Amino acid sequence: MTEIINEQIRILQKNPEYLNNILNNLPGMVFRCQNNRLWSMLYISMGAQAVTGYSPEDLVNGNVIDYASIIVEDDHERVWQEIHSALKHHQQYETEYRINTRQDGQKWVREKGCSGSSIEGETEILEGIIIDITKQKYAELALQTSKKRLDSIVEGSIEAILIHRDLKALFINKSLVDMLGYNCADEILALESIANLIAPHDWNRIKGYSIARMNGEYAPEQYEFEAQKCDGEIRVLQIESSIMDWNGQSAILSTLIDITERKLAIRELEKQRQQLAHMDRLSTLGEMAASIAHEINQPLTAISNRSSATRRRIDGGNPDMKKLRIALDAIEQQSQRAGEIMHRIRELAKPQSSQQVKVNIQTLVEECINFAEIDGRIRDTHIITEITTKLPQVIADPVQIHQVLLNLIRNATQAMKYLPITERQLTVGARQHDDYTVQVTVSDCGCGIEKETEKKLFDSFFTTRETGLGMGLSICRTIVSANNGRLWFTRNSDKGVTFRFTLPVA
Amino acid sequence: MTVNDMTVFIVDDDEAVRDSLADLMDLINLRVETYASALDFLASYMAPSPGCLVLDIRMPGLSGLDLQAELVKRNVMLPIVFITGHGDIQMAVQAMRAGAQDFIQKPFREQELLDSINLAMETGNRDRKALQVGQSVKQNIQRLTAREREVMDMIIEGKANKVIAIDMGLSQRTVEVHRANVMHKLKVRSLADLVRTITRIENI
Repeated sequence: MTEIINEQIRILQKNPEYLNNILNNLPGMVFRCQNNRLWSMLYISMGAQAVTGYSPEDLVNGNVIDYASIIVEDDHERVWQEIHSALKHHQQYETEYRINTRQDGQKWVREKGCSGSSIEGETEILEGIIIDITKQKYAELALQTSKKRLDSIVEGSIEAILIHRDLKALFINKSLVDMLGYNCADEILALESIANLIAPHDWNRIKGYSIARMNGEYAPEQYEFEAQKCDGEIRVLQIESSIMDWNGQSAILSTLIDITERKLAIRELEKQRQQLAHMDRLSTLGEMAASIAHEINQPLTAISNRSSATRRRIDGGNPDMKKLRIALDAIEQQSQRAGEIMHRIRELAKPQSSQQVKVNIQTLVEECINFAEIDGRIRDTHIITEITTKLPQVIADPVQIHQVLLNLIRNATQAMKYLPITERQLTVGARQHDDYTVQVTVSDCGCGIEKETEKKLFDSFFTTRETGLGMGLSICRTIVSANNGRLWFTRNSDKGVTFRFTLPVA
Repeated sequence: MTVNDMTVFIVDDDEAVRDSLADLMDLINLRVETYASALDFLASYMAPSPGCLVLDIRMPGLSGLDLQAELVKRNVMLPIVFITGHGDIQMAVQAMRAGAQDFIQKPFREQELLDSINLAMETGNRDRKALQVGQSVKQNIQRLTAREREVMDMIIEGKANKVIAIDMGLSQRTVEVHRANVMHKLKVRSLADLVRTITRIENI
């Protein structure tokens, strides 16, 4: 091997222009210079022309200009230090700096060199190579700027960002650190697993999602879960996750937002809505109190009379058994009757009620009308039901819908209160609105609703009645919405109005 | 008129109440008729069927108080015992003022109702008798001559026969004859009797 190389060297020595050719292909130049501040060039190859705009002749011995003068002044000292600290350790040096070219502005070069062998009489020599790295350098700088920009976006993001793989955290931004109450990212990265960040009762579910996602199986893109802060406090977070490439391997990228306050507010709102609906039910019960008392006294009277009659018959000796049995049957029947009324009252008076179940509209309407008729005024009204046969069941909270229907019936009766009794007619109807909904209607032939009142109709505390809170229709609307329906009214072509609400088919 | 000739009329829109009351009446051998509404009762009742009326107040259509007013208008003498599922003082006062026998709240002890019905029927009886008596007295008074009438008025004022004779310009003997006729025609035995009889019809 050495033979071939030696042979080549002999050829090059005999033909210096061959060497020049090789040297001219460098993206830079080779040099020999004195180790001084002037960078006094003793030899520099042709490449200098392309790189610096000065020919080798210009630079050697500083004929036209000292090489050092081309170097950008700010970089001088650093370069000098870098070179000499390497030389001190008898090592090759490598340094990058800017030069001011003759005509092409500033360029970046990389110089690599070492102590050179000096022939007798020469001062210390440096030998090396200088390469134009302008393009790469600018690319590098651009990359750095871009990275800095990206970093500040990621760090400054109010969304917390977490990248993890195999249940271990790979990257977290400042927002996540703050969100979870740690002091710095390292604390989280040092954790054995992200399980520490998640509330114990939710861990299995989250673990399941992570593993499924990494395996390409189905996992929800967005979901909520309960996280655990450094101090143990539980927060509710909304998270969006997807697969990304991180350093050549798949990892999960998650962005998180703390929605604890929002959830609390929603819960509070829901609680208040329930309370309001309850108040409205109590208010209706209150208005019906006199009628209810009357209605319960009827079966009680019958029970009392039948009991007394039975006792008298027994006291009188040799009672007619058939008559005793009739009396006892009546007692049982009337007790049930009273019990049903009490049951309905208890249901209405309950503070909580939020059970979405399958409801048969026909049954609900009948029960509601039965209860409504406890009020004598409603009994005086002629009520017609128009419910299509084979109506599908709906999903709703029966007590709440009962409340809405009761309100609408009472309102309708109120609207007809000035009509002579024979003209008071109320129709409760139910039919299929479309494939997914059933529509229930309550029609009256009363005084109607004026244009001005129409806008305020569903407002809270709006009432045209002497008594009552006026919560009725506004509550009805929120109740129907909560049951996934809509409540509105239309004017009848002849007299009165029809209130309509929809409910979803089961 | 015995209790057996009297009927208890029950008017209440609630079937269970009606039937249970009818059963009670039947138990103590009282004749009973039940009606689901005031209008039904008015359509069937033929005065002067004696007895008493057990009446609910809150009923669809004509209320119990409305029925009471109508009966008063028609001059029907039927004592009323109100039974009500929900009554207030105002209602009770109105009922009593208009002449009700009693006002009982449901549910009640059956003895309370029965006592009230008995009292009502006795009162009814007594009032009827008083009415009859009054009517016959009035008839008797019609049969008095003008002179006898005058004499009667003065006797009641407490005037002595002598004074009446002078006032009317008659002889004392004539006055004594008129007096005897008055006593005879009015079927009274003493002055006190006469005064009591006349006073009574003035009250009717």
